[in-house]
Amino acid sequence: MRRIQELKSEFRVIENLNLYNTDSRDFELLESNRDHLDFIEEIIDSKALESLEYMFLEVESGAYFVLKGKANLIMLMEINSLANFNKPILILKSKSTLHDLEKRKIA
Amino acid sequence: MKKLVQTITNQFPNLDYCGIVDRNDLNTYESVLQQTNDISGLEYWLEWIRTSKHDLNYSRIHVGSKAQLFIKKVDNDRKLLVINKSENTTLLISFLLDLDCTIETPPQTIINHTEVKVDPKLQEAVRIQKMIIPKEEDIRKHFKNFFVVHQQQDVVGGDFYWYTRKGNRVYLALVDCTGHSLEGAMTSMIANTILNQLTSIDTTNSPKVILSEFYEQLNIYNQQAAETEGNYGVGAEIGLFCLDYDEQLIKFSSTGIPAFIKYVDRIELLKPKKTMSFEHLSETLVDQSLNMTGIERIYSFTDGVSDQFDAEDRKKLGRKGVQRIIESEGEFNSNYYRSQLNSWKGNNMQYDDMTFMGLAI
Repeated sequence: MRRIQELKSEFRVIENLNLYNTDSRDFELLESNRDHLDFIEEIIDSKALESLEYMFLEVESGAYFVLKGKANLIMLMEINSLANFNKPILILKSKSTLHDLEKRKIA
Repeated sequence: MKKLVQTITNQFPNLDYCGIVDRNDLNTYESVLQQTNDISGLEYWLEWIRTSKHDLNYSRIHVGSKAQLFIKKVDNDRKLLVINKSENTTLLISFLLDLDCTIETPPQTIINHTEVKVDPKLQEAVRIQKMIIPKEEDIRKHFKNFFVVHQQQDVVGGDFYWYTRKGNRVYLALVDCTGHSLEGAMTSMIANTILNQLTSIDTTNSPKVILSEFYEQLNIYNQQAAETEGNYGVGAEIGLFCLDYDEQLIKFSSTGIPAFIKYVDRIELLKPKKTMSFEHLSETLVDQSLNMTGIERIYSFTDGVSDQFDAEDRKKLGRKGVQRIIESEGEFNSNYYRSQLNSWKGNNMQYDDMTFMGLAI
């Protein structure tokens, strides 16, 4: 979880960070209000998840960045705005963090 | 609503799809599939957009085949749907975020593909940063030829180029300040000020000495900043040339910016020293001194150029890639190099500010 803390401290735009396991269909880390994140289950139920790389999303409960890992984790970040932050770097570093977390789990 | 779609497609004619989908009209969803049949998982995303209990205001979805789906709320039932594989993603995002979909007649905002519509909050920053960046034609007067490709990741950024002339010496610098966007731009103002101050009082004609003093000054600012909690200061990588026409010498000192020197028969890389610390900097910096005779051209670039991933997002261009572009140079101008760099990047995102400059002496 040190990597997650580093990511959060580097990008202050991240308000909450959540990790969803697609195998167990449950959150391994939940900082946001769970009810606000049920769009991820909608996406899984609609079979859209398979083609997803990442997405930015603004719904009534807030703004989110969703990143699918290579294994079975999805990182869902609640962010305080969709504007005025460096999205490419956030994507790059989030990918690296998520892949690292997945590798450690496999190991 | 046709006007809304027309406004977008006028600006971005190569979109895979642009239209309005209506939750109450299934035909609008089927029409998307009929017109766009090679986007991975599109039917499932359309299903989610149509059935989600969440009120989607905006979404940008990147799917496996390097395609992006943009969704923007028009009203409770209708969504603007844009599917893109070919258009410049950065420009398209900027355009769609600013587009007001809730009015029947959309604003007739005109942008072209070289001009990004700027967040009003950044307008002033853009104006001020432009003030410190010299005009290409002004620099060109001092050489046989000069060009620069200056592609910031955002409308402002941390890369800039700088020059000054003192008698028969021309100083030319390429600077990559820490941070992007506004953070980088603010740092560039500090770097520009220090460079101006130091070169105006310098008597050594040594880029190494100027850089050493530059970082001493920057360190003073950073130490002041460190007294404030959470302020980690600023930094910059600089490649500084001094072209001394009296002595027919080119001196170069660098803290991270490389340069290629093109002779009639070969190209040589001037490797920079990566500066990790301000400590003992004056001992580690060197002046690389080259005789002007035989040198045809000089190229220098920030790490945003060499670190840019290709269209497949698999491989960085690297210094060797930059060298290949120089070796197969078609024309010595910004258009040629811009097209080469953009061709490498393809539809991939730009990861960093990119500046590439070339001068002929």
